[in-house]
Amino acid sequence: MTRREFIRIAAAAAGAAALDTAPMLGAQGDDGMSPAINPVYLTGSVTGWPLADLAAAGYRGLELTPACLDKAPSWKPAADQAAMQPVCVSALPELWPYLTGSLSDAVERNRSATLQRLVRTLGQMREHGIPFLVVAPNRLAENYQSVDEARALLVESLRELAAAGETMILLEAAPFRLFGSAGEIAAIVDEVARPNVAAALDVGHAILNGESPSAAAKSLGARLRYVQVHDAEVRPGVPRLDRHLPLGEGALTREEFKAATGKLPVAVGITPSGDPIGAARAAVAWMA
Amino acid sequence: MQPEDKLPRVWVRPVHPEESPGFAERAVKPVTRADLDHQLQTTALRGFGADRSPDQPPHQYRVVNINETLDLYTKDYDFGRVVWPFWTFLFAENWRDAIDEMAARKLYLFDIWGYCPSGPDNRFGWSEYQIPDDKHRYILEKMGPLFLGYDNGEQDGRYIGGYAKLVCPAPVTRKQGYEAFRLYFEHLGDDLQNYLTSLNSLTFPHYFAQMGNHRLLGAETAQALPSVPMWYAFIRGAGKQYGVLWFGNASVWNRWGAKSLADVQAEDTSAPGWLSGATAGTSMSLLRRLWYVLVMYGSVIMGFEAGHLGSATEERTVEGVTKTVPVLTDIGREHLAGAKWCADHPDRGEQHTPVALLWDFHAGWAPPRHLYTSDAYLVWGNMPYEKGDHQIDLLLRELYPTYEDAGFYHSEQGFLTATPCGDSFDVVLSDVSEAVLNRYECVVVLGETRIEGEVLAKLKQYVERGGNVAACANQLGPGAEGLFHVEIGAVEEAYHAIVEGHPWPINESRFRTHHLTPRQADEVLARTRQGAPLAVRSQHPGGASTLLFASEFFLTNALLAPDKIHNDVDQPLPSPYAMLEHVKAILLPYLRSFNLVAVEGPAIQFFVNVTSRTDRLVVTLCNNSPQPWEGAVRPRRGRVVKATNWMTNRTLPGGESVRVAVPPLDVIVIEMVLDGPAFEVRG
Repeated sequence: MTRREFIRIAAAAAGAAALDTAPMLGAQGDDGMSPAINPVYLTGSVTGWPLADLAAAGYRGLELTPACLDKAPSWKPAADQAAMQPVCVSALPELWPYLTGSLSDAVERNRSATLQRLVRTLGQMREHGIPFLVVAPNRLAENYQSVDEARALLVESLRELAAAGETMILLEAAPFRLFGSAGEIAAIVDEVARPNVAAALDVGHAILNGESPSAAAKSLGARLRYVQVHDAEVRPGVPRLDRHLPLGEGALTREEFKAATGKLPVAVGITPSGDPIGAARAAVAWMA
Repeated sequence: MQPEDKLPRVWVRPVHPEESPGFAERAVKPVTRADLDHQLQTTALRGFGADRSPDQPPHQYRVVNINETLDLYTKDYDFGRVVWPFWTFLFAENWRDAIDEMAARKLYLFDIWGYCPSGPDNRFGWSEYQIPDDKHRYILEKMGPLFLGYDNGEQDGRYIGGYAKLVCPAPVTRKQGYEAFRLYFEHLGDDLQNYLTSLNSLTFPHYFAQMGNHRLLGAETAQALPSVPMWYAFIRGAGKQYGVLWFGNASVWNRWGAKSLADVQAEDTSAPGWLSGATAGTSMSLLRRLWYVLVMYGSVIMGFEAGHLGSATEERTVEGVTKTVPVLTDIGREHLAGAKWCADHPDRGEQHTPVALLWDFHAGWAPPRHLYTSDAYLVWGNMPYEKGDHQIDLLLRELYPTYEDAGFYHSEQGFLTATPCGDSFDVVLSDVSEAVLNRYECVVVLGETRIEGEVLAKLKQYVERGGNVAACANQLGPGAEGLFHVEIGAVEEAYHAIVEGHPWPINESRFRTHHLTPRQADEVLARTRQGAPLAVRSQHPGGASTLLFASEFFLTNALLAPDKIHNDVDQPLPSPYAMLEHVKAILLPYLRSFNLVAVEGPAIQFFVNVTSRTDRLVVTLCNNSPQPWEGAVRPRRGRVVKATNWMTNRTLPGGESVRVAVPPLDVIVIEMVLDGPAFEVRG
């Protein structure tokens, strides 16, 4: 993909929410939904994905993780053959606080190392023409950090990432972390005030954070460029866990899903305990 | 049951890390008994003072009163040779002086503490500091084996409580759960030169020992942390499995505050943000019981967390010099008395733990509730319990009644428990070697563990060498039916059981059970009214037996919806399942039969220590009840010709059994000499 093509796709995607008319990423000219899927979450592996089956199930886009980019030769030919285009990198696996990284770590060497890794990821994304990078806030650092300090570091980190190129950096709320509401995410995006920093919405995360996905989408407004979908269980006596359940196994309703996504690009990010193809097919059917 | 006519074969050798496979090749070697001069070491000193606050820029400070501090804790009061300091002294301008002095005095430098993820190191508090290579090298050069490691302190709990749920997406497989856990400790190890001591706060010592960068294993007992008999089953098991010694420590903290005896006349106060004072925190009686229990468990280092010295001072003459020193507190006195008791009774032997509880390496099992989360029933901190995890929990509730309450009750219920089947279990994981497995007389397979592949091969060998195995039919993988001499058929449901020797059926809640077809020679211990076997025992050549339960994890079907389960302080935690009654009737006496003594009287915590002298048993009885305990200890084989209460050094009348009284909330240790061997030495 040329730089010109990359910018065109990114711009189209970035403007989709505002224009409210652009097709789904990966759509092949029909009016039906052609969602992306995160094959790493689906299979638990960064290689060896059943791309032909996923394409046959109706998926046209791939949401990757940073680890996939180093292994592009292992999936790129199959993705091309299946006409599946990488549309997004979810950096969440690089943002497990202390385990892998954080954008607001009070230990500067940790934050700096995280930024270095993500800047490298952004470079790889440009090579593959991937328009979106999804990131999330951290938890509060232990003992010596105020929420304001954490927020200032997050804003600074987002600006540094934004400065690394044209790729859209999308901030999303994640459970058990700071800034869990769409309103807070929107405010941070506004404070960052960079044209290539906007918001993503993970509907499962919204449910776990106690927000309705449609209300979260409304709060994010034109900042919202990309929606990830999985289900989440919120029942008394059941621990709240970010399990990325298959659609229909939790609290998400079709109505909420449709109201939250509108015509935005959608990626399925489920982690079934068995039969990934079956779960991926069922997700398409559920969303239809 | 163990045949009464045959002496049990008992493992009596303590762990010697240098004899474990791979010891010579390990970059970070576990502490050996020789390193510790083959004796229990004790610790009290928790830090050095500084001439100014380290967190004030430019962060230049000096450690002060090094000699005086070391004198106070090792000479003026002989609290032992182990120094357990806060980390900041290592970054003082004169840090080498402290190291040099400890080395010159041949003191141990143990478990340097204060590491905390994401705390900036320029705050010099709970901080994420890194140990520079040259500093680490200097410590090793000066102290050699006297340096016991940096603190992996309560980090398993910290991970579970603060980080596991942030793994997005949450793990689907146990292996993914383990991988996330490993990432956390890889970061910690890299910061701390991979030269670690684990002060556990949850049930993950096996993973630390397996990582190969830990020198000792231990736990912060009491506080609001897990039940000690259950917990040390994990720690001992990990120590034996991976060849790492373990230590004990009892905390002055509980869920609500900390004991402070600095001024015993002062009222408790909540001014620091928690309750503090003479009647806050861990009770003295629990601290005392923990000392003796942990020492008899084989701890190689023992100490109380803090509070040995008071605010008042007194004149004290040491080595001909009179000086003014702080007065002893009850904690300090109890420490000195405990240390003297250990010195007076050096031949305490090895705790007899004949039964291994075995489950899958990647299980990540943790108690159903604990300090670090209000959620109940999670493994790895981010995955819901499966039925097999409930099986582990419910068996532990039988072995250590109220263990799940530790840290949740003001009464301290659960920290130490009665042990109706004896305090005689270790937990091992499925990567255990055959050599380690052969220490045990019985293996009980628990949890979501499949008996297939390597596990099956190990258990087959184990049985061929005379070991006993108990499991459930749903745990059997391909090829495992032969080990238990059964064929397994369809899954059925049942709601009663007829146990051999009982006149009438036992009512049960509904449960899923596999249809078993045993060989004719095998013994059906329980069946349904229709004749379907529910428990089958098979004898094997060499004296071994296998015991198989037909029911799924020997539990009922789910009885309680999640919304009926509440996890509250001072309240019990219900389980959604129950252990089947017929299983209790068969399994619990079976497990009890491996003990070398029977304890007659109300339920009490008890265990036996052994040495190569086969006519001698050392029995610990810990009364965790506020009522006095009276009962008898009867050796399963032989008569008692001499019994001595080690707490009083008084002789007790012998005979078929020894009558014993244990005061409320207290512990005694009895040495019994028999008229003949109680066991054969194994291995």
